[in-house]
Amino acid sequence: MVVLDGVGGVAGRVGIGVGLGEAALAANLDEAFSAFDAMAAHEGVVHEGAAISARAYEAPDWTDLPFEPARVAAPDIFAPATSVQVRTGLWRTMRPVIDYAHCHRCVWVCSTLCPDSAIHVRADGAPEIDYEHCKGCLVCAAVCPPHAIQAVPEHEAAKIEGGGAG
Amino acid sequence: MNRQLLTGNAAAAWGARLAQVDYVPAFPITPQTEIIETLARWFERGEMTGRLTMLESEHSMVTAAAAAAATGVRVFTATSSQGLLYAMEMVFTVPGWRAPFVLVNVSRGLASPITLESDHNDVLATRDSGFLQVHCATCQEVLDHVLLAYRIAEDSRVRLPVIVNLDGFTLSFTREPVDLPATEAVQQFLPPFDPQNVRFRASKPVSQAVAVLAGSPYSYFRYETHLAAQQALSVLDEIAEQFFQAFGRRTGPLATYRSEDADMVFVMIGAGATKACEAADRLREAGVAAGVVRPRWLRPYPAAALRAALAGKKAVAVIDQDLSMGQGGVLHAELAAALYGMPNAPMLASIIGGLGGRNIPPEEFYEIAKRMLGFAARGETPPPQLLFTERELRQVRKLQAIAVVERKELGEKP
Amino acid sequence: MSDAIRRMKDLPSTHLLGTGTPMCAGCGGLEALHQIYDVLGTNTVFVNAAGCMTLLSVYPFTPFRGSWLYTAMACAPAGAQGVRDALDILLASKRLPPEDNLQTIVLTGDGAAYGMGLSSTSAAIDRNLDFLYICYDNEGYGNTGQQSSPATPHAAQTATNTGSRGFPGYKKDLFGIWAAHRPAYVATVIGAEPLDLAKKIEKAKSLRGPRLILALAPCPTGWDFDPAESVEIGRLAVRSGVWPLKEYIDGKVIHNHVPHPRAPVEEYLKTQGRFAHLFSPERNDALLGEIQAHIDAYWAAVNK
Repeated sequence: MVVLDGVGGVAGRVGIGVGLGEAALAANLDEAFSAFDAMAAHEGVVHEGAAISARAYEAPDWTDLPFEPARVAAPDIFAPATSVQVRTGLWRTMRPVIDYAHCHRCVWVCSTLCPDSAIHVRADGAPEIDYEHCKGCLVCAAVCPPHAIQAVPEHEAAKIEGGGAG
Repeated sequence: MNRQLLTGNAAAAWGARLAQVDYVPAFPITPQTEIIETLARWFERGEMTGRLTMLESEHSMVTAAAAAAATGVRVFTATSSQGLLYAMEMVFTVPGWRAPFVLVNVSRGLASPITLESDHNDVLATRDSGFLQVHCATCQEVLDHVLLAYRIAEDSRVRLPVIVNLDGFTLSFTREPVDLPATEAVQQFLPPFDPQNVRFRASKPVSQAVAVLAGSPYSYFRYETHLAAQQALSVLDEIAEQFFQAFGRRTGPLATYRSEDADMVFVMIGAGATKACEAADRLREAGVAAGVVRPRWLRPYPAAALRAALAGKKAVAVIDQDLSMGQGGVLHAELAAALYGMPNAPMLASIIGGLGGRNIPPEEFYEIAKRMLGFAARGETPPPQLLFTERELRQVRKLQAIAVVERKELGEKP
Repeated sequence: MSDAIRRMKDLPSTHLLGTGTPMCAGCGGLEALHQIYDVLGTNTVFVNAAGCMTLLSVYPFTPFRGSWLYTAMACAPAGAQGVRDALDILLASKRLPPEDNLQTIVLTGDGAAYGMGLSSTSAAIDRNLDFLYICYDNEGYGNTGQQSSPATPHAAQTATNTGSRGFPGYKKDLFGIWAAHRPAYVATVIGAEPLDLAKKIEKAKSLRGPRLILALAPCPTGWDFDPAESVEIGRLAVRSGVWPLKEYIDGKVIHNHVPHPRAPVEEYLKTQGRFAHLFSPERNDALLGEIQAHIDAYWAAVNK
């Protein structure tokens, strides 16, 4: 696995496979380079556009912002948990999938340890992953005692289910 | 009628007491400390109900003030100078919470070098923050404007915190006769605080003061705060009328003294302006048609009222008791912007004086008036002037001589 | 909702913190917070200081089913003071019914808790403010890209210590600083040990006065590891003695768990890219020795 800098990541260190060995590193670099080479077919599609003319342009739809009282115009949120409208499930590249045949219903493990509260406990006591919000961190797969959660690449899972995260 | 001899600080404390404030987060600093000492004594004796909490810094004090206001109680606090500056992150942060409260600033010159007596650099540094600000010239005005400030701040069209400013030393420690209104009359004028929908309670969860990323929604919230500040002028008109009905005293965005038929007008804020009024009287006796325009409210800025008051005057001298380093007088610059393009605009000149409590004696007012009228007659504008005399410079040289005592002896002429 | 939590099976199965926050996948801070919130409940007002979790609430989205107030980096405890005082005034004057009362919670990262916010924190404890302080400690200024903070451990690489020796200092003892103030309660927790965490939150919730919950927050982005390892790394922090699970109450420090045998700290360090320089291109035995010695000295003093 290639450890890349993300936003907020420790600066300047790419490719230090933490204990995973040279072979894995080489294979991943191969993948990355082939993907880059595959982009060559699209070379030239993105180019600088024409400047917007100052003679003929669409006028901005300026408005005189009306005064609104503070009960409307303060940065306050008057409803609980509006964050559920943000579909963080779109972040996933890997999807955790529960094999209910092997699930032991020890929901106090997976449901507690999902950092995002994205594993519900159903009425029948089984865990259910909220794929609208699951970020694919795979902590659940790592901690499941009977190893009943597998990680499946998201684009494959989406094909199977015919819908993916949304 | 209950008429007492009160210092400016005592008048501020009485304003808070009459307003029946719930909560006073406090921190001491010269020259406002007497305010919180007075309030602490009243809370301890049960003459006020509620609570005074000593915070550990002004930054925390302003945070606690706004947080308590956002929870739903009436809040009062006070500071000066370095303390106001220490709070500055929160002075800029909390107006956007749209939770109202009153902060009394007892103005004092800023470091460096550090000093104790008054000027207006501290309070003027808050002018971009979203706090409203009003400047008092008498101890009566201090008490009155604490009450007015609560009415305006808490009005649903405003909902912004307000700074009530009084000059340190010249007003804070000066005793003047003050009418203390009766409690019932104040309660009629200023009903209990209605937090409206900005409050914390378990039955109505709310996330307040949340982050707004992206320029367009951020701009909406910032523009609306500005529009609300501007609303305060029309709200003031209504409330000033109610104040007059309740207490018989008139107030408004400007105070004017003999300015209607004046040729030469001094523009000054705060207690120093009373000296300008005295000088105007003496100038009138000497045949010079002098007057004074004293803005009370600087935020919102009363541009229309100032234009009306100064239109057609021959000469206007703005006496700034403040100094923006590298630019000049803050009030002068804002007034120039307000008058720009006005057809019958006066000759407008900038005078800087009164820094750190430096006295402006009558002779300086007379000389300013004479020079201004001379320039105006010639169709010229004088360059900005920093008020300082040869005698003052000699005094400084003596101090400098002492500061290098191994090279010069005391008493040697510079 | 408070039957005592005794076993893992007793842990809450309803999760109160909303999904959809922008915290990183596998965030150890969110791990701890979501577990804490389940026990604390929604009659809470969270007063937050600048840090990663500033972004829990970004207009118009908030994950809280209770209340929230964002202040600034140095002053969340002062904000809590204002809220608590105002609630007490409203309750005393019967302008708020008792059922509308809220627990006042401060939520900050290590940057505020160990550094900029120490002044307001110390003063709030000194005034005996009734509040619960939750610190998610990811051992650096995380929201700005993991620069070294007073909570950064010895030899860790950060965005401002990229050299082969990493951070030269040692992690500040915030637990000790709080304990010196003799508050109502201090406890270390970690999301990887949910039963220990839940019991401590229950205990903290039942007390009054200044209380600290100090949660080590394994940080995939800042510490450089795969998010899936977030819980295992937390368990290793405990097993290796890097993160003692302990409480301060009634003037005494109690260690809830003394790891025995104690895993060599290398097992913990090897899991994270921020310590990779200690192993590659060659082992830095000197620095590894310093880290191990520091931990050994801590546990030697505990066993006395």
